[in-house]
Amino acid sequence: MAKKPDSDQKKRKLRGKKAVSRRDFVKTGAVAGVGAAAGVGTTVLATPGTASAQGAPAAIQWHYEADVVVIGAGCTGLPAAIRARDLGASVIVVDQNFDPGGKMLHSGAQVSLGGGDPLQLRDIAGERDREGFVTAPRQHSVAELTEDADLLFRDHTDWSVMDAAAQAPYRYNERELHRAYADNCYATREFLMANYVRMGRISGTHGNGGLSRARRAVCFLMEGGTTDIKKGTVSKQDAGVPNARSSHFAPRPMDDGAKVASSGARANGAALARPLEFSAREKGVQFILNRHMDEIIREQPFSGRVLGIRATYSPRQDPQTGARLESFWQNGNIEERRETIFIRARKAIVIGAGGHGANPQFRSMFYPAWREPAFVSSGWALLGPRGQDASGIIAGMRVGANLAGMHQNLSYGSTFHIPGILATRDSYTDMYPGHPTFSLRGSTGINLPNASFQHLIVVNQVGKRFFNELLIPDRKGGAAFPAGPGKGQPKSGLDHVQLDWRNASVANIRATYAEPNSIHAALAMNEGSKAPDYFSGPIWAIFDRAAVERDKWKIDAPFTSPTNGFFFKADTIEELAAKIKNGHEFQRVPLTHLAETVARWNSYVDKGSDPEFARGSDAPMHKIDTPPFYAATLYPVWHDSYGGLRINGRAQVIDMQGEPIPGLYAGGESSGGGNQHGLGRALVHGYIAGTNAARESTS
Amino acid sequence: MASLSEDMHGYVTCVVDVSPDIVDAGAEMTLRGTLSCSPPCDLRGHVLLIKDEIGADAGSMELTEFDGETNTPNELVLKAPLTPGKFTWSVVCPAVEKGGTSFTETSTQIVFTVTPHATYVVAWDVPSDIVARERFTIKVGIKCSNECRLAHSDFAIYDHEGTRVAVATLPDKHWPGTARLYVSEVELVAPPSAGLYTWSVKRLHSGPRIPHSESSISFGVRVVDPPEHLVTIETVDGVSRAPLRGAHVVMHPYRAVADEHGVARIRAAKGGYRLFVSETNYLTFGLPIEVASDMTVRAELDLEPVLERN
Repeated sequence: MAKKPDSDQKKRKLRGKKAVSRRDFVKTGAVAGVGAAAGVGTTVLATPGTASAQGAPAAIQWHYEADVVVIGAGCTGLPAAIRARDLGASVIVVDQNFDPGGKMLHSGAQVSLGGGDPLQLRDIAGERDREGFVTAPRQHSVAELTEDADLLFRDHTDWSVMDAAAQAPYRYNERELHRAYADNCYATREFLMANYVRMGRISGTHGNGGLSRARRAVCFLMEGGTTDIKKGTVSKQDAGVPNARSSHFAPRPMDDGAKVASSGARANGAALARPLEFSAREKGVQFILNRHMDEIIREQPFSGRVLGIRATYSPRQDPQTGARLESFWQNGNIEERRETIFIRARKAIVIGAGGHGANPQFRSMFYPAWREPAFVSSGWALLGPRGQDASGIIAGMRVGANLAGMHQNLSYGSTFHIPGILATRDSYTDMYPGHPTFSLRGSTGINLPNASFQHLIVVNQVGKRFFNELLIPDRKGGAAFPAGPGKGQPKSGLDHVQLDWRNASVANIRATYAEPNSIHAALAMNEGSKAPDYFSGPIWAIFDRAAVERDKWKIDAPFTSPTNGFFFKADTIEELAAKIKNGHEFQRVPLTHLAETVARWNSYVDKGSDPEFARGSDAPMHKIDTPPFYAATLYPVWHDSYGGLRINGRAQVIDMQGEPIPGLYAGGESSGGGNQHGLGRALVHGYIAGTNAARESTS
Repeated sequence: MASLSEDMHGYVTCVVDVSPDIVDAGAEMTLRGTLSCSPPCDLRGHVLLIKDEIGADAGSMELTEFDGETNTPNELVLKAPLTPGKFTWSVVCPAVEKGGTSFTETSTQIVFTVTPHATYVVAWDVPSDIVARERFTIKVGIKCSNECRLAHSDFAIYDHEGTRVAVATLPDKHWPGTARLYVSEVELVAPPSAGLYTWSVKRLHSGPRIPHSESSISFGVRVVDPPEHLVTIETVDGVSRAPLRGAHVVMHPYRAVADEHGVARIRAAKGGYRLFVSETNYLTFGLPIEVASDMTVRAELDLEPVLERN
């Protein structure tokens, strides 16, 4: 759909004005433009408006309108948009980033659904996929794949399950929401496959996806000469090279999918996000990218229908060239650079704007020590500074939405933790040169397996050790099939008994408790911190040349950057401390104790024991004495968001009186009341939201 | 700092700052200033004189800019004195007559503190186990915080009783790839009885004329009795049984590296040990062993599962 070109002087005035607030906009009575309805029902509006009461929605000059406006082009937004479009609605998707995909794009594409979904049935029948890509053998017995929606619903609301951190991941889940989830898993799996998403064999179940059956399938594309979503192929160039090169198509190099699909399969979030994006564009969904939703507009502040949104221009630039970053595909994009625009939703708004992991103030509702602004959400470089900023949740709250499941952030091990990727701020996942945002990140990071932590020590912002380093990256996965004692359960696989009180017995919890606690120690840095926030500051892995050589670490570019402030090298420990202080944005105090700490550690190695943190019993200890010396950040990350807008089984946002807010839908990490990790939750929410949004009456 | 001077026609205000005001001996420090007159007067070309603590000339700053109210001199970069201590220098604006207005001489002070250069000592490649009375070597590196040339400087090694057991001299060239870290290898003799001793390295005053602070570092000397038994450790992949060449074997205090056949050999004194075998991407193998005779241990290592990130 073409946007009508600006033609009148009033409009030109508006275009030149920066940061127009809703109030200012109404006061000026500016008119944005005159457009015609597009073939897909999206409209660029032209109607001159009359400025009346300040802030009155009736006076807003809408720049665009569509039946359904989706906020966020991620794991909730894309399926919602496609589904609504399938049902005949016109759809505009607004995303703050320059490229669709959200966190889904850098994910592992592990989609746990279940309840007797089509892939479970395919594996039970021993069948291959329609295209014949999946040649890997079935990975589970028929019994492990056989279930129905009732069993899935019970799994997701099982009060008795306790994980290895003594948290109950399922008991607080919203019943109506998870009943709807269970009832829509089949349709969602089918929907994904109908929109070019290829998935391999069912293999286990992803975090908090239930204990009783195998439900996870990984998305893939077949490596081929060209990237052709319809044919299910991705070129070598677009798939990237593992451990070496990313691409614009795939921010993380795609993995080998042989185990779950077949030889030549390449798997990760790009194999889910790109097909959904492709399908959405093909079906006529329109995208307004580089556009941050700031406000949802309702008829009255806390009553009436939602009418539309206000969104501001949020371009991202390449730091080297200054050029605006552009999306991988452009068809369907609405090029719009005005500072502020208003978009009307004739039927509904779907909030799929992600979670709150990058909003320190919002995070602090759950854990005050997480207000440290240094720490970001996973995918920070990919999503940019406004990704995962809780804006969808906050906008919902401002029009009267209730919240749900706020404490459930504490019930999943990777919600916040310390990943083992050193020397990058984006410490949850890797990224290599080849993606447009790599230069913003600067370094891939040094990805260390847990055992490699024997070669280093970790210090806090004043240079003191604070935890047994071997336990720092340790985290327990969610309680999901096949679970078992390592995940907090007395029994595993098919032996698990739903709703059995013994699962939550004190004896079992005592026997299986294994919370590593390192993240809490990392955040509790009183020394060097100041009121009122007591920011913990960064933490640093300290090691020497001997460690690098002994454990064969890759510490050159792109794994580290000499200029991004997350990796330093010096001839002496004293100089290393000075470089950290001068070179890292969030290092607010000198590492006064670092030299003393290293000397003490070396004395422990000489003695063969560590009286402070009990190193030496599980792995050898190694001196840090051989120059040059290195410091690399070890950055806590807030990966998942649990807790958000309360939604019902139709994905409608619920207000403080327990009533749906007319026309407002949400899902995924913008919603609360569901503790399932990963993509399955958001995909189903998107499918449900899109279905119901399209069926709303037109306002 | 500022001073004020008036005459019958006008007065001058001169402000000069020194940065940093705590500076290493002989290091660079920068003077920046402004000079304003009342009535405003363009004094470009006039020169401010810098006098050291005994009144000797230390430099000058020519006024090069005038914005209608204030004259600004060019920045002046000076070397700090070589003697540590607190210094008070003066900046003199000589009397000048311009445009019918005469300004008398005025001056202001700059105060800064000179500190000795820090030196840092590192010691490495100390053997983890040293048989009593045997010779061993270590590496010692010394560098200056200002990257002074420390070639031919002396340092000494002191044993656990404070006795100087060796004196060595840093070489002419610094260690490759470093910012003037000078490194020497020193041969030493272990104490006569088993135990863990703390020795130290101390840089001696010599070498450059710039003052340097004293510095030292301690290191442990683990002396063991003569080994009695040979422990042979065969390291293999737990699944493929392939030898793990380069695996690191630790049996505190003994350490060894597996050869191309995945075999490491440690000669150890009789006693109980915890044997560790580490290799990149493998879970660490750990096993308590009792060494009472020559023995062979097979260490099968499992790959560490790749952490799921989704």
